[in-house]
Amino acid sequence: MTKLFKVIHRETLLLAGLIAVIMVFFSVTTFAARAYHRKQEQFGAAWYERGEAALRQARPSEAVADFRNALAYSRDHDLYRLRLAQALMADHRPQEARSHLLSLWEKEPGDGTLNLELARLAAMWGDTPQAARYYHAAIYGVWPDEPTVHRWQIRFELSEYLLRQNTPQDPKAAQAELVALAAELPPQDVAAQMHLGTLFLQAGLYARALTAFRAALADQPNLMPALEAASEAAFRMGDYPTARHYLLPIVAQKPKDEHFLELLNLSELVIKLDPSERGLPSQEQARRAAQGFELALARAQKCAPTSASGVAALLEQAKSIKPNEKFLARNPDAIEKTMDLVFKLEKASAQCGPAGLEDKALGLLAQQWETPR
Amino acid sequence: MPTDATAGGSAKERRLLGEDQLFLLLSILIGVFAGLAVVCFRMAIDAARWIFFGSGLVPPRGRVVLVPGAVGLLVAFLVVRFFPRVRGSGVNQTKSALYIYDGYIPGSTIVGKFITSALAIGSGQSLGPEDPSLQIGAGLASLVGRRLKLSRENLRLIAPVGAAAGLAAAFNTPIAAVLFVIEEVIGRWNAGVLGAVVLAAVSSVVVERWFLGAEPLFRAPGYRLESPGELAAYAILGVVAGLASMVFVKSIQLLRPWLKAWPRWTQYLLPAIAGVLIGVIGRQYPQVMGAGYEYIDQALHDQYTWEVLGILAGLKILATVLSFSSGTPGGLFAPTLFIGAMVGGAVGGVERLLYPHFTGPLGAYALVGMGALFAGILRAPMTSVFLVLEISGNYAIILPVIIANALAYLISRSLQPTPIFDLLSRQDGIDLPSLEEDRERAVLRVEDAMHAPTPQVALRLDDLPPPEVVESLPGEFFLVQDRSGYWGGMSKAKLLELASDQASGARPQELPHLHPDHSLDVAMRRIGEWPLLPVVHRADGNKLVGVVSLADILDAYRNRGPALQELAEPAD
Repeated sequence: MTKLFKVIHRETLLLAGLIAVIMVFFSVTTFAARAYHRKQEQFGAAWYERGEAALRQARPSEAVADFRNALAYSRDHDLYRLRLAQALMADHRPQEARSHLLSLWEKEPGDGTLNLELARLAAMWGDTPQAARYYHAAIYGVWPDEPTVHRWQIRFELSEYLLRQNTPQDPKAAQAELVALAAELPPQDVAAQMHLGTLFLQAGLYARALTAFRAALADQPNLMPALEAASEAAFRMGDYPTARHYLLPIVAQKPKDEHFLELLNLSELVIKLDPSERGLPSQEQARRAAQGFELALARAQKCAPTSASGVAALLEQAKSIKPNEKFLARNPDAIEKTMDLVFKLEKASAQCGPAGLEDKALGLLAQQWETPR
Repeated sequence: MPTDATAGGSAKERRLLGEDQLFLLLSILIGVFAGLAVVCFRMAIDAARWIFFGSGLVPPRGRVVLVPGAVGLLVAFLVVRFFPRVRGSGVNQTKSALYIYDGYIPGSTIVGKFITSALAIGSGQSLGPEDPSLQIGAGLASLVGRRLKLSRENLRLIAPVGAAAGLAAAFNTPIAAVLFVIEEVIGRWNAGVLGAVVLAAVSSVVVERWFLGAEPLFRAPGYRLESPGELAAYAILGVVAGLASMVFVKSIQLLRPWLKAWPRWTQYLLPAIAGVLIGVIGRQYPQVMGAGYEYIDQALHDQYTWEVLGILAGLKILATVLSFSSGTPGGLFAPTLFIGAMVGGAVGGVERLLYPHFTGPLGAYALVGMGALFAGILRAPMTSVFLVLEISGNYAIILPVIIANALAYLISRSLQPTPIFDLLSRQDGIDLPSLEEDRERAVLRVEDAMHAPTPQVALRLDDLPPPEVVESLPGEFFLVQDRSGYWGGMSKAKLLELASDQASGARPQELPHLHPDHSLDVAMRRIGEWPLLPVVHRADGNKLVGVVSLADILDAYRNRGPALQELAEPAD
């Protein structure tokens, strides 16, 4: 023991004392720090609640101040920062919001919500490539709940955004998004299929639009908006029999709706005037071509006195050919040439005033003939 | 780290640990101690703020003027009556402990600094907690060192070790704290001191992170330099920061001695007056009150327009000059960073207006501005670079930071030659060594004193002149090269014997050698009683490039002396 006491020197005792003091100080600090952090959390939560309430009451400016206070007590609280960013956006302060979102994004670059908010900001500033990048990151990002639904919604949003951009490359970008969306959407989701079809219509993909509307109609056959949209899609893609199929019940229910009535009449006229309809006997083909020729000739003759020399020249050509039903029935090869002349006459006569229903039908037929089959 | 001078020889014999080991162990314990103290200090400041102003960032309008004024009176009373040593930032007091008081910092200073600074900063005085943390750390270290009866030399050094621990914990920046203490307080590098300072800083930061979290002080936005051309924008920021630094330092230089010259009883009122004025500013711009970390964070996140940032920078300079010059205890680091962030953001905003293709976020300019003002005001260029890296955790910002900091430092130094801490110590009548001046002082080298070797002083053993020629040579001692090429020394008598072939086996005496780049301090130590020393080439020890004598060395000191004195500016 005596030896032991000899080893225990004054410095050792002092060091032990110092360590003991530090331990006591540590304990006191631990106690104080717990109380401090508890207080901070309370303050942060209270300010956060105030901010949420302010946002609910559409007072984003107050919400911004409240969320800032909340964030001061918990700088690393991502939810506080996110809500602050959203409040700033609601308060029309996108620049300030962006900085917070970027801070959060650096921590969680795969977070769906953050990427979506950043995409919206980029879209707001017209930075299409950046917006598309963030939208895609949001689509493939992490969503804590209902990730599939979020992905559909964001792809819808992205497609709508791209469609709003009036630049040549955007239709293709939007079409690509919509095609991807079509593959993901469940066919029985009527609302989603209707939304998709409408966007396909805007994007000029009528056949795909029609598919979407058909999917909606498969679930609800009498759904009027779906019938209307399907008829529009079929009409625009030049599928007049299908258009008529959807237009007949519409007109039956809405006999005074001039738009759909005209579409129906036009569809029926186009069908009646189309000599190229599949399975048609040659006699009928000849009859339709001759009828078309007579209609175009009559319009051109009315137009000739007031029009430029183009119509007159075509009239001379038409008079020299004078294709009648019998001739055309004997010479089926001449039907196509006759229809070409019909379409030229209609085109040349367009300058002489509004076209009648038959002329419009011939115009639609012309578009159909020009489209490669 | 010195070990020879101990408190008493008998005490040394009884120790289990040598003083070196004890010093290092103490560094760790002091780091922990200082870390705990700084954690408590920061909590105390926040607690004071909550009590005085509630939990909101913006103080209630009814209290914003009243509280700083009333608390200013209390702080002034405590300082004047009980803790007169706690005035100011604490950096100079720590340097004074190192250079004047043998490492002695009274325990009352720790308590006083803690209480008065927490009250002052918590009540909205425009000051920061870092420099007080530094002084608290140094005070604790001094207390522990005295209790353990460290040697005088180690007692002197233990205070800066504690200072590093305090600063590291306050900023959560161990590297910057170590650099600052080495760069500004101790002023010299050696392995022992560096080891102790690093250990203390690291242990204090570990404690601080244990209690307050590991996140850096500020969450800086991501930054990527898109085009090298943008560096020009940061260079402009460096210039503006240099000018802002000059305005800040000059303002303190003018106002502080003027207020100190007022009658003694006014010292009871000055902090209160400063508090009231800051409160008046705070009614419109509460951001300038207190340390302002939250608002720095907001500036880093593009939360202000450049106009607001500019206004805040100007008002913060005014508020800090008022607070500091009034003698209120508190630090300059946080206000410096605040002003820097606002100046940086404002300059970045203007540049973005003029050159919209600059893609750097405003927050990046604010961050660089913080470093630039730190370099310009506190004149610690190395610390400023590492501080920005550590508080932001963003290495990509380093190029802009280096450029802006260097420019701010150079401009500030050219417009305001005396660094702020030297200025303050001279205003207080204390002549502390200026470490910036020391750094810049030209070191005299052997090449400045030596002269070319001539046949009259440098001879070769295998080609000695005849005795009558040797006899005629001036001087009594010569450098002689033996047959192996080694340069030694020989007296005239010995040389004469050799020349007359009476001492064929004689060898020149061994001499210490010098190289041209050796400092004259080394030459002085080596020359001893030798009349001449050879200066040889570093790559070829047999090649004599010069000869130096004691008279040459003294002449060199005399000739360069006045030039050195010019570097030092007279005290204000």
